[in-house]
Amino acid sequence: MLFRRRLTVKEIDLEVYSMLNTLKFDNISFADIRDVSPFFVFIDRSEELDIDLIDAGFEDGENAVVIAQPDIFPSEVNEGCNFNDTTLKDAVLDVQTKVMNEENISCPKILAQDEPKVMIKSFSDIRTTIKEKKVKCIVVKNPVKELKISIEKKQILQMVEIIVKEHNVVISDLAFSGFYMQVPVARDVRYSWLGKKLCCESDSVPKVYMNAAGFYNSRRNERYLKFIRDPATEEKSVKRNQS
Amino acid sequence: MLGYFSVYKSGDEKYSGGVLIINEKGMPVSFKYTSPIKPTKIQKIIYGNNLKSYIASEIIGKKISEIAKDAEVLLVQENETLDFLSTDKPVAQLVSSKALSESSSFNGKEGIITLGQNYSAKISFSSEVSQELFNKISGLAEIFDILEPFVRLNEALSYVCSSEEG
Repeated sequence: MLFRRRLTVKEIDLEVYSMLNTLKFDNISFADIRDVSPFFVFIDRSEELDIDLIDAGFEDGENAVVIAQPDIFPSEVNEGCNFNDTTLKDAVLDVQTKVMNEENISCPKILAQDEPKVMIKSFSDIRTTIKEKKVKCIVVKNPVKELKISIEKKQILQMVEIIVKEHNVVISDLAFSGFYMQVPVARDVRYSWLGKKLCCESDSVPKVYMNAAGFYNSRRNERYLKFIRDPATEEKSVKRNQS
Repeated sequence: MLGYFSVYKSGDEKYSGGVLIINEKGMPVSFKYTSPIKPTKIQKIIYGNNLKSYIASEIIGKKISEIAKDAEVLLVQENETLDFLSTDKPVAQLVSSKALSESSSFNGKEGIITLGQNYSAKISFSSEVSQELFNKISGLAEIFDILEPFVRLNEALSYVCSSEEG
């Protein structure tokens, strides 16, 4: 009696033929064919398996060889067979001929009748180029509590007096809002306020930078900026002029 | 000089990366960017969630060294960008922090920089850096708002993605 089953190993279909040597037919029972395949392979280790490659599943032109290794079968499969035991069925089906190797041996001609026509497509990698653009000269400055040089109260008061004169405001409405370090000074620099932050915008990169003090007029909701003369810097420039 | 690096993704899924170099007075020195990248459907499938990281590291990040030659340190906003950038320069994530601190502090890899009077920024380096470098960045934060260039950089990249100039 011959049972056969088509085993699927990866993408290769194999047919395995094996004669049964010892079998107690009285004890055979089949699994419910509604749920599982009705075909089984019962393999006797004493027989050499005859494995045919019936459908390689390869594309034309691809090569493969299937090597069977019957000696990988567990010994308990054939010894003390009990076909009532469904676990035995599972054990038999677990034992499969496996593809041990793929070598560059041509498939039988029947599998490769046409010339190989294999096209490999790959998606193009993402490429980009680097560009450069001119940017506006903008710097945004936060107010700081103190400068690295010491500022006397007298200097602050002088600035307040100048603001009062220039903007015709009441001195009591003015409040000191902080210092701004290294503010660009040039004719083309446009100053604006972003809350307490000072925004300086210019068309070219300014060369002169000075510390400044900010004041807030609570009545008019206006802010004023006054540059601070740095005696040390001034002294240096005077010396340069003298030399 | 500080290099601000960002990868921008537009609403129509275009990507552009750029580096804004700021000098020690807070003035922009150069702005270099990549032409907008519009990944194909297959590229989106292949790269999946890693697409932005891939673009940041492999496409734009690899060109960082040639873009940001003058920058002493590269600043990024997103943590994922920090992880994927490969450059010999120090890279740090710089974000605003709610922590109020009277003075800046640093532990070798992370630090708090006081900005102005009422708020601060958290800086996290990808690897340990010297106290000297941190002090320098902290000092620059007194001269200009070190978080603000990110706003301009992203605005510029947004413009690049939306305009035909890219």
